[in-house]
Amino acid sequence: MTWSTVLDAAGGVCLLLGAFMCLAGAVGLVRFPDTLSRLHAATKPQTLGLILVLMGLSLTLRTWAAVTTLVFVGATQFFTSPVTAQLVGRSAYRHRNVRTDLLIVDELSEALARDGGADGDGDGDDARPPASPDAPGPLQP
Amino acid sequence: MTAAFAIAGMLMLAAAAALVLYRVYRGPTNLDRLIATDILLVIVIAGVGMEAAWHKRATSLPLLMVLGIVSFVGGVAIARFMSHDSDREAP
Amino acid sequence: MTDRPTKQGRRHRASRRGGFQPRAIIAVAVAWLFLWDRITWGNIVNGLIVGLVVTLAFPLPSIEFAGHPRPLRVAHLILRFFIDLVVASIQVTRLAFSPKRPRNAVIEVPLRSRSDFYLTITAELNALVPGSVVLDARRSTSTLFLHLLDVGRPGAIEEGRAHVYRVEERVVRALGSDEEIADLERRKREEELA
Repeated sequence: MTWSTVLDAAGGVCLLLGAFMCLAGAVGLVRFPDTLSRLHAATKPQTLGLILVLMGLSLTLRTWAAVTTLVFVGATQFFTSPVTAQLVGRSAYRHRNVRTDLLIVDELSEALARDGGADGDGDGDDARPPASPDAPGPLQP
Repeated sequence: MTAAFAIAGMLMLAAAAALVLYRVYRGPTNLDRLIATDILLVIVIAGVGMEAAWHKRATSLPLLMVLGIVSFVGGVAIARFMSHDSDREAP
Repeated sequence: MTDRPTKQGRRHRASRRGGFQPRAIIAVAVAWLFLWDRITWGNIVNGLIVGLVVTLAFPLPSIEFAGHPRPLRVAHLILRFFIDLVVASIQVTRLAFSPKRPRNAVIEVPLRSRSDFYLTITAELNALVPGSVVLDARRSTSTLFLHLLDVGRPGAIEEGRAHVYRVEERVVRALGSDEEIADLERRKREEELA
């Protein structure tokens, strides 16, 4: 049992776990009922899965050149995936692509109603709040 | 040994990609498709990584970086574009 | 999101834009070294030149940042973040394979600190930790709006809110100045009394 065997095994386990996380995210994407829930599936398991795959890859390759590149790829994903998620979430909410019947509390539409639709940052994309909770959401299957 | 792990991982990724493509096909809104393609790019990155681990060569690593940045720029551009008009489809 | 500032806002923004930004230049140079995988004098000089050109050609408003990082607390922040990320992934995975439908909520969380910088970092970290995605943020009041996944059981919403505050506290303690930390403590005590 040499070091390289141990590292290879650890790397392989990381690769498998990472692939499983990607699969879990994909299953969530298909099974969750509305866009915002799917967003959760898109951000968390995907980021962890990618980090695990990159870790497995650097444990397998074991060169500094590879490790620095992989750290860079991981950091890019880490900083960018919340940005995309927020843009999509904001857009989905403002276009009423929300299953309001699945929401227990909705304080954003209360806040938007309170400010009369203006969202206070003056960027001109103010929107009306989504329909009231008893109205069926637009995504009723 | 790494090859076996990598192949098993690739099979899982293939299943994941199939599920994601189903979501791209189904929609129901373009935002769902955007989320799905975002995941698809992460799966492609993971798949290229698996290949690199399998053959133990680092030639495809720059590709990973490019894919990561493309997925971000593409995702943000489309999300910004779609935030201006309704993307709801007729039922 | 779209920059459509008023006249006054534009003047304000212009004064904060541009100029020589040493921190940004060094960050670009470090990224450049990561890309080339090799630390040589040539790479360092090239990285600094690229950083200078990028910051002059595409200037961003510089962030007002008064604090200083504390290594131990930053390590704590990062460690806790990774634990949270793993917990979050397991939660989403379990939910993805379970037959029940998630019950969700959208909550409003006014942060205790008043800084774009902490707002951004708290939002970034919260997007990846258990059960929350940031939907919207208001700079004027440092308020975050989050979508919480699967909060069907009682008390889950309050727990989500408390979690955002804990992340914020960790961020400020790791990166803030002494006054900002004292400010946060004072607000916390006031809220507990109220």
